[in-house]
Amino acid sequence: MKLLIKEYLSALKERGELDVILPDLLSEMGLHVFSRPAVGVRQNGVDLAAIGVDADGIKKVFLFTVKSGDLKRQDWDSTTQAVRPSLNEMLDSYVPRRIPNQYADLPVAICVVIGGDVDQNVDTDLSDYERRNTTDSIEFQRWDGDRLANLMLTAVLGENVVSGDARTSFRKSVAMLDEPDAAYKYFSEMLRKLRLDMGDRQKDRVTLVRQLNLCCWVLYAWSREAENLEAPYRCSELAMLYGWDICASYLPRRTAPAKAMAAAMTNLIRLHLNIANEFVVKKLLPHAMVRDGLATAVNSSFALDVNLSLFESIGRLSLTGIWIQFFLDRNAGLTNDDKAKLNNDLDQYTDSFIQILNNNGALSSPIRDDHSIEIGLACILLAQRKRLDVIRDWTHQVLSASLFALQTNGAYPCALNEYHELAEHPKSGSDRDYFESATAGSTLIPTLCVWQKLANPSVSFAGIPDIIEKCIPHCTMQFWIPNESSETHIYVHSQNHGLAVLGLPVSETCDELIEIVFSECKNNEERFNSLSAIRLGHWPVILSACRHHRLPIPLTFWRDFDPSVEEESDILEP
Amino acid sequence: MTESPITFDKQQFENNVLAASAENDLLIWLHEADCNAGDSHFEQMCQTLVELHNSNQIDFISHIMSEKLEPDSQRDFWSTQHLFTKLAPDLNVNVDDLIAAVDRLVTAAGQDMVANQPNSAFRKWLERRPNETAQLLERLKQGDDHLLPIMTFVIEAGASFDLKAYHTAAVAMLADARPKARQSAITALGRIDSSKDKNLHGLGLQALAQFIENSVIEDETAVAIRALLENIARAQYIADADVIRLIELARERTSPILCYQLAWSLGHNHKSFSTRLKVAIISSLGDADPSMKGVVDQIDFAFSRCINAETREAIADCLQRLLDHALTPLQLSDLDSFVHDLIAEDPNSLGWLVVHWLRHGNHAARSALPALFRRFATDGYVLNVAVDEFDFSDAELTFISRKAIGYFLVEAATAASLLISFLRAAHGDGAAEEIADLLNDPLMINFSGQARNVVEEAAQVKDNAQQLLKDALAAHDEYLLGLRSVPKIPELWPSSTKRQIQAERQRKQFSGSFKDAQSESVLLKLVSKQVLLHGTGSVTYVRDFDGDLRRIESMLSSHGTSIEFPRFESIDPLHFQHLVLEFRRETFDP
Repeated sequence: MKLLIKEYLSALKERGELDVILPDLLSEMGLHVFSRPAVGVRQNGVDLAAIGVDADGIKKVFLFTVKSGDLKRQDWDSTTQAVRPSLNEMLDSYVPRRIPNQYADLPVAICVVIGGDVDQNVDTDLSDYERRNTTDSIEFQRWDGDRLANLMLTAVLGENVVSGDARTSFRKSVAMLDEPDAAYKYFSEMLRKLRLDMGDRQKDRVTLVRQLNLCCWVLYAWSREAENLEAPYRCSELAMLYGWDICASYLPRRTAPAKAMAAAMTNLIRLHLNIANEFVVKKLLPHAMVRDGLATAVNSSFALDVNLSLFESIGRLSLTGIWIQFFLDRNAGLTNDDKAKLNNDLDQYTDSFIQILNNNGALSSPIRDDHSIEIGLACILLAQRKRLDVIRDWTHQVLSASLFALQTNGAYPCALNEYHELAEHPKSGSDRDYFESATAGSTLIPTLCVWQKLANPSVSFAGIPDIIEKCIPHCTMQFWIPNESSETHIYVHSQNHGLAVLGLPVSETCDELIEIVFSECKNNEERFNSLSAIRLGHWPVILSACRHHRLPIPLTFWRDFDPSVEEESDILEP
Repeated sequence: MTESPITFDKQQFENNVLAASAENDLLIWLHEADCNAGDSHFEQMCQTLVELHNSNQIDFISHIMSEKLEPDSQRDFWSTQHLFTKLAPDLNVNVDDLIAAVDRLVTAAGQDMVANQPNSAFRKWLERRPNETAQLLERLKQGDDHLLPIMTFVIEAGASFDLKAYHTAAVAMLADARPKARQSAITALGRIDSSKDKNLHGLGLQALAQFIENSVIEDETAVAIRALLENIARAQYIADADVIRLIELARERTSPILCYQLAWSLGHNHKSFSTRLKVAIISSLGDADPSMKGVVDQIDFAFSRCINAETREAIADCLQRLLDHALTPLQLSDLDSFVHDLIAEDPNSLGWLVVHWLRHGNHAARSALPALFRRFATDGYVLNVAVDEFDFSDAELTFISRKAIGYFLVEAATAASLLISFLRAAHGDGAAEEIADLLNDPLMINFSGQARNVVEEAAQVKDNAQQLLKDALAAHDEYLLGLRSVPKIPELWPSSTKRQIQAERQRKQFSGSFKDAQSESVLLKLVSKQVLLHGTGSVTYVRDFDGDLRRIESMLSSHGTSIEFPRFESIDPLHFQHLVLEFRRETFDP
C-alpha cells in the first residue's frame, strides 16, 4: 500500500495537484492550514503555511515549499521556480514579515515537500543549506515521497480511519485500472464500506470526503500511466455524488467542520471536473472534425459497442460543458475579459461537440431508451449556448431514425439495460412479445418531442402519432420527477424513488405535451427545489446523479424554458 | 467403346442365347454377357439376335413380356430397354405384340427422361412397314381406342412414306370426337414436316389455326399452339399478326401448360421465328406460374437460347413479372442456364439487363440482380456496361447510380463498376460529380477493398472521368487519413466482459451455421465423418477389389473464403439501412 501511495505521489504535478492534496493531508494530521496555495502565486517562496504540534510535541509554524517528482540538480538552483530561491525568499521575506502576528513567537519549521526522492548530487547542497540556515527558531524538514506516503497511510488511510476491507477494495481498484469495470466495482465497494464505517461526528464526514478526494487522486495519477481515464472518471463522479450525499445537509452551516466539508467537497467536484475535462479535451474534442473518427476509435466491429460508447461520450461531454458553464455563471470574481475568454472557449467547446454529433452517424440512432439522458444533457448544453438550431435538427434526426428503426425492426431504442440483452437486440420482428417488452415504455420519444417543440415552436409532428399508434400503441410514454424520498437516494442510488409522469400525448402539435410538462414543472417545483443540490445552487450535481445512475433527467429542468416565466426564459433567446 | 482384342464368336454367342432363351432368362444372360453399347461386339450381337428372332429360334418380344424387368436393378433395365430400342425396328413381329412390349417398357421406365425411347423404335418399325401402318390407321379410324396411345407414331411413321394421306388423316382427326384422338392428331401435325408441299403445309396451318379458334379445351389449345409454331418454324405461310392473335386467344383460356408449350417452341425454334413473334411469345411467358419447375426449366432454356438485342427487353419485362409473382415469385437462380450464359458468354446482355432494370425495373427485378453476382463475392464481378445505347439524360444517370447503390451496395465491386460506367456517360459536370461523390461515399467508405480496387483501376484510364475518379480516390484517402489520425482511446473501448459476451454470441452463431451447413451438405451425406484430434493429415487403409489392403495418406489443407463487411454495418447500421431504403424507394421524376 505504501508503495502504491508513494508511486502516486511521485506522479503528481506541483501546480494544482501535490499542493492541492497537501492541505487535506495536513488537516487530517491535525495541523491548521492558514495559508492555502493560489494558482500561479507563491507567497515569498511559501506554497502552504500551517500551524500545529510537531512530532516532538512543540507547537510550530510550518512553511512548505512544494516540488513534484524527484528533486534533481536543475530543480535546486537553476530557475526562479527552483527550491533554493524559494527557501531564500522564505528566510528573507516570509519569516521576518509575513507570519501572522499571533504565531510570530513560535518556532518555524521550513518543510521541503518533494513528491519523490532527493537525488544524491543535490542532497549535499540541501544538507549544507539546511545546516547553514538552521537557528534556534528555524529548523528544516524534508517531506519526501516516503514521508508523505507514511503520513497519508497513518493520517488519511490509516487503519484507525479506513477499515481493512475498504483498503483492500481500494488496492484492487487501483490494480484493476486497465479494466475500468472492475476498478469501478471495487471502488464502489470501498465507498460503501467507508460510508458504512463513517463515525457520527461532522469531523468524520470531513475526513471521509478528504479520503475520497485522496483516493480519486491516487486513481487519477495511476491512470495516467495506463493512459486510460475511464476508471478515474467513473470513480470520481461516484465519489463526488457520495461526497455530496454525506455533506449536503451540513454545507449551509457556518461551523468550522461545515466549512471544511465545503472546501473538501469543492476539491472533490473540481477533481472530477479536472478528470472529465482532461478526458473530453484530450481524448474527444481533438477528433471532433474527423468523420466517423470517434466511432472508429471504439475499436469494435459491433454496432452496439459503437452506439453505447458514443452516447456515453456525448453524455460526459455535455455534462462537463454544463459544469463549466455553471462555474462560469457563478464566478463573480471574473473580469469581463476573463468571462469573454471563457465564453469563447465554451463556444469552441460547443462547436466541437456539434461536429462530433455531425460526424458520427450513430449519434442519431440511440439503441437504449435511457439515452434520453444523454440527449437531454446535450440539449441543455446546446440551449445554454443558444444553439437551438442544432437541437432542432439533431432531435429531428434522432426522432426520425428511432421511428424508422421501429418500423423496420432495425436497432430500435429499447428499454433493455443489460449488455447481453442488448447484444441480442433486436430479435425477430415476428416475436411480438419481445417487441412489446422491449418497447414497453419510453422516455426517449417524449423527450425528443419536447426538445423539438422548444427549439422550434411551430414544428409539425405530422405522421408521427400515426406511426406510434401503429408500431407501439402499447408503449407507456413517460417522464420522471423527484419526490420527497429522492433527496435520500438520488445521489447514491440507494433505492428506487421519484414519480413517473404518465399519459403523455404525442400529437401533431405536441401542444398538450408541452402544457403537461410546464404544468408539472410548477407542481413539482417545491419537491425539486427541496433537493439539496438545487437548494444549495449546485444543480449540475443532479444531472451528474441522473447520468451516473441512469435516471431520466427530471422534467422540472424544463422549467427554465417555460415562456410564462419571463425571468427564466432568456435561454430561449436566439 | 472399348476395343476388344478378342474376335466375336458368333456360334458361341448363338449357343448361349439359345440356352438362355430356353431357360427363359435371356435378358439376364444378355446383361451378364455385357450385351450393351459399351461392348465392341454390340453391333454383331444385335445382328445375331435379330437373325435368331426372325428365324424363329428365339422370341425376343416374349422375353420382354415374360421376364422380370428388374425394377430394383435399374442398370439391367436400361440395358434391356436400350437393346430393345436397337433391335425392334428389324424384328419380324406381330404389331400388337410389339405394342404390348413397348407399353411394358415405357410403363416400367416411369418418369425418366428416356422412358419413351421404345416409342421411337416402334415408329421406326412402322416406317419400314407401310401395310401394318395403314392397317393401324384404319383400325384407329374404326374406333379402336386401344391404339390411341400410339396414334401419333402411326401418323408420324405413315407420313414418312405417304405424307399427303397421313397428313390429311391427321387434319381430319382434329374433328374426332375422342379427345385423345384429337390430341394425337395435333401432336402428329406438329411433328410432321409438310413444308415441302406448300398446299399441304398451308392446309395444316389453317386447320390448326381454325382448331385454336374454335377449341374450348385449354390443354388442347396449348398443344395446338405448339403444333402451329412447329409448322411455322418450318415454313411460315401465315402472318405474324394472325399467329400472335391466336397466341393471345390461347392466353385467354389460361391453360397451365400453354407456357410450357410456348417456351418449348421458343427454345427449339427461335432462329426461325420473326422478332415480333418471339417478343409476343416471350411476353406470353410472363403468365407462367414460377412454382412449376418444368415450365421454368423450359423458359430457362428458351431465354438462354434466344436473348439478343431484339428480344432482351421483352425477356427483361417477362422476368420482371415472374420475379414479382404474387404467390410464388421466381428466383433468378432458378434460371441456371440463362444466368450462366449471361455471365459466362454474354456480358453485354448482362450489363444491359442490369442497367435496364435499374432504370425501368420494379423492386422485385432490381432485388434479384445481386443474386447474379453472389458467386463472385470474394473478388467481386466487374461490369463494363455500354450506357451510351440507352441515351440516358444526366438526371437518369444519377438516378440509376443511386439505384445501383441501393441494390448493389453489398456487391461493392459490381456497384463501383456500374457507377464508373455511368460517370463516363454523364454529360454535365454536376451529374458526374454527384456520381463520383457516390463512389466515395458510401461505396469506398464502406468497402475500402473491393470498391476501391475497381476505382483505382478505372482511374488509370485516360478519359473524361479520370480526374473525377482521382478526386474520389483523394476524398477517400482523406477519409482514411482522418481515421488513422485518431489514436487509441481506451476509454471508448468495450470492456473485456462485453467483448466476451460478443465473442460467445459469435461462437454460437458460427456453430449453429456450421451445423446447419453440415446437415444440408450433400457430401457429408455420402461419406462418413471422421474427426482428427491430432495431426495435420491422416492415414487410412481400404481393401481393394482384389483383397489387398491399400494405404491412403491424405494431408489436411485449409479451405476458406473472405467477405468484406460494409464499414457502416458497425459504426452506423441504421443509416446504412436507411440509405439503402431511400435509394430503393426513390422514383424517377424527370
